[in-house]
Amino acid sequence: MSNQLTTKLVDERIRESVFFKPVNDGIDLYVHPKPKSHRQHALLCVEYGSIDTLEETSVPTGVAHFLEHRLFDKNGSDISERFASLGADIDAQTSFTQTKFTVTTTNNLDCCIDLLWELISDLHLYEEGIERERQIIGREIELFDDNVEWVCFSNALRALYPNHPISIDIAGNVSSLREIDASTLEKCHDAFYCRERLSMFISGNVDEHTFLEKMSFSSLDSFLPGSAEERALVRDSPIVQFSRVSSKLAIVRPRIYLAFSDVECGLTGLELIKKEICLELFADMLFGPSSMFFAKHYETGEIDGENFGWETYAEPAFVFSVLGGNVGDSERFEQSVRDELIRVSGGGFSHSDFQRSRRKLFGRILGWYEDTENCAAMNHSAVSRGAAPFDFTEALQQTTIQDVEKCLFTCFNVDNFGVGVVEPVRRA
Amino acid sequence: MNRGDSANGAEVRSIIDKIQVDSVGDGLNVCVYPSEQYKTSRIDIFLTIELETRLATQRALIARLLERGTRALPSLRQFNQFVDDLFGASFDVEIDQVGGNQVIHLSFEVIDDSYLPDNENVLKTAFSFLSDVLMDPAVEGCPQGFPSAIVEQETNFLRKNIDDLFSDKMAYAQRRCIELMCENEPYAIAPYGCRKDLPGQNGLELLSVHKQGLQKNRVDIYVNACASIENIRQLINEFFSWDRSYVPKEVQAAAVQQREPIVHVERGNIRQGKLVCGLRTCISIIDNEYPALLLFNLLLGADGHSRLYQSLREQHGLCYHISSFIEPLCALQFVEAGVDAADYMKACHQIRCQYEEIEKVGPSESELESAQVLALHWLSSLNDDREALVRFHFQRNLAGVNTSQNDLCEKLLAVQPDDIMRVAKRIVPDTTYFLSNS
Repeated sequence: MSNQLTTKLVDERIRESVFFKPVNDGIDLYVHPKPKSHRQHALLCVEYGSIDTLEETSVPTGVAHFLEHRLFDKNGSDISERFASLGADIDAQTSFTQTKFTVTTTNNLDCCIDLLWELISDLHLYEEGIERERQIIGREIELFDDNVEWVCFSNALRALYPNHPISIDIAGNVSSLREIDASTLEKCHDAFYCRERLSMFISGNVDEHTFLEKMSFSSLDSFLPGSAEERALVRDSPIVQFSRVSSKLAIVRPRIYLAFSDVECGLTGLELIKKEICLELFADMLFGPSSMFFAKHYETGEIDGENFGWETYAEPAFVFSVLGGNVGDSERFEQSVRDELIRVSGGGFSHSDFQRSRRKLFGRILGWYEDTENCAAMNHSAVSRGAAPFDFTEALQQTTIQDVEKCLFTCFNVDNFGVGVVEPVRRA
Repeated sequence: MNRGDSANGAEVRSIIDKIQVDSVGDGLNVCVYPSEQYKTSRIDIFLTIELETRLATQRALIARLLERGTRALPSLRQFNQFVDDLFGASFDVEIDQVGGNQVIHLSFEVIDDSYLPDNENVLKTAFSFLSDVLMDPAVEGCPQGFPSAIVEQETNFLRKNIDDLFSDKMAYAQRRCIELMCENEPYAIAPYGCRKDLPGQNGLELLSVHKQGLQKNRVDIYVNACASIENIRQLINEFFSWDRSYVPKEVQAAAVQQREPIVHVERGNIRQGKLVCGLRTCISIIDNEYPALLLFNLLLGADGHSRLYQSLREQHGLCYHISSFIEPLCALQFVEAGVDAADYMKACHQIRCQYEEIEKVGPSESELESAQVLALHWLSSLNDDREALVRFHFQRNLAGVNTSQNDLCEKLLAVQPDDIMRVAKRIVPDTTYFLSNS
């Protein structure tokens, strides 16, 4: 039995607490009780995403996602049926840097967690199953080919980071799917599904002591593989270019995303969360619903309220912000963003705008902790980037208007952005 | 899994059964549910009327105009700044469709006063703001109307939004299937309006439609806050009282129009075809067989382990996405999938097979048990999601269902395999729509 100390973290500002304990030689466990909620939730994260690859063998793109799919097949039967018989919802998703498995139930979370271990560790590979998966993922890629948001986002990344795996579809492509075989899947499973890369986040109506105790005794040892033949390669930061990638779809209005890359790479922990918060505040002050930009371009019909917005991605290996939506004319929109950035570089930041955006972000962060699933997601989001669970509120408190203004030089630089566009084709 | 777990599940600590409904008898229903589970207060207002062609477009415009300003906050920027200043409050007006009804749905969420640094009373501010949005919007002229420049802007936006539906291929295919299937029924009228009714809309007429709606249509107000019930009722009386002249409408049972099934194929310039099958379940939310229909839908296609998913995706590799859902007020069921044109026939055949197999062989005991446990989990989970909870309650209330959530749980547990087979027998295929990629 491991007898490591449990740490309790408390954030008075939002009245939440989290318990942390390292269990079973290297797996970090976080328990976030929400005694008034009805749900119980667990998020199991493997630090393995679409941009990761092996040290010695070259690996086709899309393996992380392929593995995530294939793990559900246990000797021809789908393990999600066993979750269903427990009354639990199971879901999985692969991102650039992680594979996440989430389960939500209203009781028996402990049984669900045992099933989660089995889900990620017990890999059944056989030719017929792999071939069928190739077909299904092929369909998934086709589905996203018709999704204007996704295509536009991919175009923006290809414009900004053309020579990095981040600009390749998480699911891979038709030719890379053909190259994925049993041996690649097994090698990657061995190398990436290991203790050092696992963390678990529990939240909801749970008794923290039960879980902190139980996890120490879990039968995990019999599941996880021994030492891997090959090691994972250290992630490269992408090299930035500023090009324009455009494609056409059967849509009505053009869609555009401007992708801005931040020059401060390699940040981790609280500093990285602060960076994310600065970029959020910057975008909200300049382009949010309360901004001059928004009112002006909404009233002329250039942008609309439903789908104009931004997203920030802040990881140690890359930091970028994507801004845009459906527009009247993609080049006109690009020019108006450039004009706005030039305008504020002459000292256009108002203190009252900063205060408003900061109040707003505090309210939004507080709101996220209302929800059981979000609590686990927030804790994971902080911890996986080397920060502590409540660093979001801490970073927000520390952020000054000068920090936000700095984003004009590090990220939202008037000449340095990639452009992804999807233009309409004429309807048949 | 054993029955014992399910029995425990039935005794959910149901918030929904604690919602206190004060019906004043003039079509204004006030539903208050205090709970300390949340860090924010939430107010939902539903303005409901049966879908009618020209009126639907007008109300879709009104919903947009209500988000454009009040007399006190006439410009878009002032209006948005006011909301953002309330610590990230979220304010939204959307158009919903519930059965054959069009609903203007206003919602407001704001953090609880106890988290604020100084003694601000944002809950009261929220009530006052919403009251202004509904009863004192930005207007111009004499007689008054919504400002014409804003009406023109929003008319243009609505036109773009209607056109944009075509960009989301699955939603477009669904809409087409409904249009073909429910022609001449209110359900087929698009709740976000119709292009041909847009020209000539003016602020004067729109404001008068809005004001009449406030007086004559059904209004449902839901409030959840950390405050006491008395406190909430006081705020409602202070801010949401106005003259009403409501004429209740008899709830009519859905008239089923059965016919020979039709197939309609259109070509689209897309990578993957979109298949939508529409069926008539002949069972609505008020019927005794409804719990069995819910379970039938769950084991057919509403979940990741369901039959359609296992058969079409996992066994035959015909699609990535497939699911089924029911429309509980109009007694409809839909199956949707992304399918390649080359696999279209095979997919239709496999979907038919799944219906037939349930009808003839029924579900296995364990399959039904899984569906029951999942349904209970879903009902219990609802208590953690206020928006879904309110929608669920509102939909049942609108249809005239007055049994409790716990009652529904018990009925779900009592469903036998035979009941599922009987439900399957009653379902009639109506329209198959395919937006083809070839």
